[in-house]
Amino acid sequence: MLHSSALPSLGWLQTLSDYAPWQEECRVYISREVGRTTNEISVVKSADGRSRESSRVRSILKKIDRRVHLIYCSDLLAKVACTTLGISLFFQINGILFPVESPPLRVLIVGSMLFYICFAIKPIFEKNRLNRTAGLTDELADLSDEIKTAYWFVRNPMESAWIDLQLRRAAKSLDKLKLEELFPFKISRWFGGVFILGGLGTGLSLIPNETPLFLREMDPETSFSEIENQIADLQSSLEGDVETFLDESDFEGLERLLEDLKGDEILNEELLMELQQAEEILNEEIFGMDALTQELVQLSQEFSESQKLSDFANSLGEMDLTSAAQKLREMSENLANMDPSVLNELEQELQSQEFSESFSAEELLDALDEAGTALAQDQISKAEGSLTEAAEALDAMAQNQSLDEALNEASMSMQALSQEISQRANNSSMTPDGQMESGAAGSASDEVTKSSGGDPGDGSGPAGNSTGTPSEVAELELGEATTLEVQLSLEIIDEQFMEEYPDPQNLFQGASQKQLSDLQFYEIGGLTEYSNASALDVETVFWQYSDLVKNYFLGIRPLRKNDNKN
Amino acid sequence: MITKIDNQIALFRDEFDKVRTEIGKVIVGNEEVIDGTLVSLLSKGHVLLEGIPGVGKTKIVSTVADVLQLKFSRIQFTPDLMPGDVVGSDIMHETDTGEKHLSFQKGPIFTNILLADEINRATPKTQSALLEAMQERSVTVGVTTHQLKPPFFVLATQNPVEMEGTYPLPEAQLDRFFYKLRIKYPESEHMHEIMNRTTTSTEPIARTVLDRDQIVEMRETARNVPIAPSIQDYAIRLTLATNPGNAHTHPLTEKYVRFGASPRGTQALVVGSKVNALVNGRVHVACKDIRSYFLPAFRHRILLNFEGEADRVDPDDILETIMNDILEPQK
Repeated sequence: MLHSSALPSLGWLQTLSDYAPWQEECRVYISREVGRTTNEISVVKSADGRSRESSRVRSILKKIDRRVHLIYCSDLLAKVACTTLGISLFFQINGILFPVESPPLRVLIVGSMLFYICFAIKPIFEKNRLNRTAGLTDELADLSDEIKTAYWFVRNPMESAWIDLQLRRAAKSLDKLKLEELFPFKISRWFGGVFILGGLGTGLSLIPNETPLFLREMDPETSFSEIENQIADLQSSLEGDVETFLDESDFEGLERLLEDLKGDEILNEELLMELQQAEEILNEEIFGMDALTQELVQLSQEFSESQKLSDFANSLGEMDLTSAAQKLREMSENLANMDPSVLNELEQELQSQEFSESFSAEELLDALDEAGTALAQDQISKAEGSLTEAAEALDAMAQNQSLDEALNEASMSMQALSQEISQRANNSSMTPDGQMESGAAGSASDEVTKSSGGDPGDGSGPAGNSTGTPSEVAELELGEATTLEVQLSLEIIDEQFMEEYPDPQNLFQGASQKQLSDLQFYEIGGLTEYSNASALDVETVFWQYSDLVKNYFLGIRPLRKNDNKN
Repeated sequence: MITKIDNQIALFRDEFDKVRTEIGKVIVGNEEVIDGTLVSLLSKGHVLLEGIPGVGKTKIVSTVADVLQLKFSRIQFTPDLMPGDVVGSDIMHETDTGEKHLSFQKGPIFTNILLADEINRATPKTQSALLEAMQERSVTVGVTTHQLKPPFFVLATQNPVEMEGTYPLPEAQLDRFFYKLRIKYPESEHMHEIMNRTTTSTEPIARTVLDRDQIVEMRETARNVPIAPSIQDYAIRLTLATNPGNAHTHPLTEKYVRFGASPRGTQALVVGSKVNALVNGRVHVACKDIRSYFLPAFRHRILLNFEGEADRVDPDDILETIMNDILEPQK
């Protein structure tokens, strides 16, 4: 037999015969005309027939594959739409009930579309797609692997009359298939889910949800956005001056606390405890600016009657320490140009003041005193220096004042935040009818309120001075402590064992029977040979003992390669 | 367009159905055994029939012999049976002139269908006398090799229960059998039919419907059936799954099997599937053909290990699990 590839000149024949209705006659006639032998003609016919059947099988399989892919895409679309709507609905319900921020709808839709496109086009790039389609067709049409086999021979052509027959039969079977019945386009059940979920979503969108439902019921004023704002305030207040002032470890602790607040990874109780600890750290660092303020106000009152120092006194009285320092500097610069009469006046004014020794602004007072003394001794340059020193002391005070304010602000932010959180904990522990749960929940809120040190905005004293200790905060834990009851089971001691043991008291104090009964195991596998199965011959071993014999031989056999796997 | 092959296939089916119908006149039920026996015959294989006494093992074989116009011999295997009793021996002859010479006296093995009844009652030496005949289709006595005329078909029977005084067939001997078929105990309705047929004055008789040439032609036809490599791969994967210590080994095999099916087993599986495909009017082998004869082709080729023997594992259970677990291609 000649292979079809050996007859390249007959390629045009095939093309011609494909279009001619009288193809057989035409092919035979032309073959005769060109002087082919009968054998060659049969080869041509066979090769032609094979190629025609192959292309038929392939084209029908492609058609089926397109249909299957469309059905798959439709089903996938329904599934993806259903899942997307489900997720969207979940977030929608969550948004109504709880203060959870849902992702924007467009993100969800775009994500779902990308997912759908990826999975919809994925089968197109799969290898052996038609092979899989052939398998599916076989299965659905109950063709007993006919199409699968045929498709393999289509891809790997072989010269055999049997294969040709197989291809022809497969092509005929494919022709007979009613694709509409076998692979029907039907609306996926998932579309039902899409409609239901869509309807639910639309219905839910009509419900106003400005405030989450459970928050609306519990406390209309409290919202998580407030807490977030307070966290932001606290962060901004901790930045800047405070950073430069605090110890490195304290500042790191505060930064960690901020991270925890942002991450919301810790429980309310732990959060409260941490906030109060942080508040203590800040309070430790706060200067005694209130006492100093009183002293400076007193100083300004003493200087207020002086003509030359009235501006300075006014600035002190207004607690504008920077301005007061500036006034002193200006005075120091002008000292050399002043009339002696004016200098005398100033000297008297400075020296006439009697400063209390308990004043905490010692540097300032000393400098002013020295300036007065220098003026009395006509030492102008020394007086200038003293006034400059006084101005520098005021500058330092001004800096401390700003730091004190920053620390106060941070402390107050923390107080407000801890109040907010304790309020939230209080609300969440309330029963549906508004009653507080019995136990520590109510006292927790009380504790927090007490420990917050009054209204943070009243300005009386350093805020949060009376903050509770961590041990007090620990009392905020809800409910009673868990208890674990353990009962030891009695050990039954053999009578015989008791007899063997002369002193029962020692027996009870000594090791248990279980410990005493432990036996050392010796590996004897290497000493014995693996027994053969005849040891379990039903004729020789009574069936009741066969398991015993089996376990014995399995126990003493040498380890095999696969023993670990089993 | 009906081709010569179409005619061959139609003829094959027709003749197979005829044989089946004729055997069915005598044998009640046991269709699987009858089909398996015929498939084995047409695949150039031999069959080991296993069943308890009285279920019709010998009757099936004698009926198959009746239906086929072939030479039939029967050997009742006993412990004192010698190899010479099976294959034949050289006998001294004296001519009229007084010259003496040895001539070979053919044994009962020189036949087309050989019924080796209760084969496990003979000693291994006598059992082995069949080895060459079954595989090579020839018998060597002394230095002379005698060819057996095709078709040569051994149908051996054995009783699985009565083990006293028997010699279990060695693995090499078992592997020579194409299929091991188990004859089930008949169901109640079949029992009624058996009583009706065999306890009256007229017993049913099967006609001869197939001659030697037809059988040879059918055997050749069956071999031409194409099998797609994916289906062949399925058969190979099933075979490998029965063998411990390879990538395809089934966990149950790893636990209970010492040796699995040989490549000869895969050959039996594929050739038998080709015959089965033709019987079902197909010109290609399907996975269901492979599955149909997986148990008969492999059950006698599975050698259990100690644990398998100890747990009384039935190779059929292992094979069924493997068949269920190994996926068909494109599934």
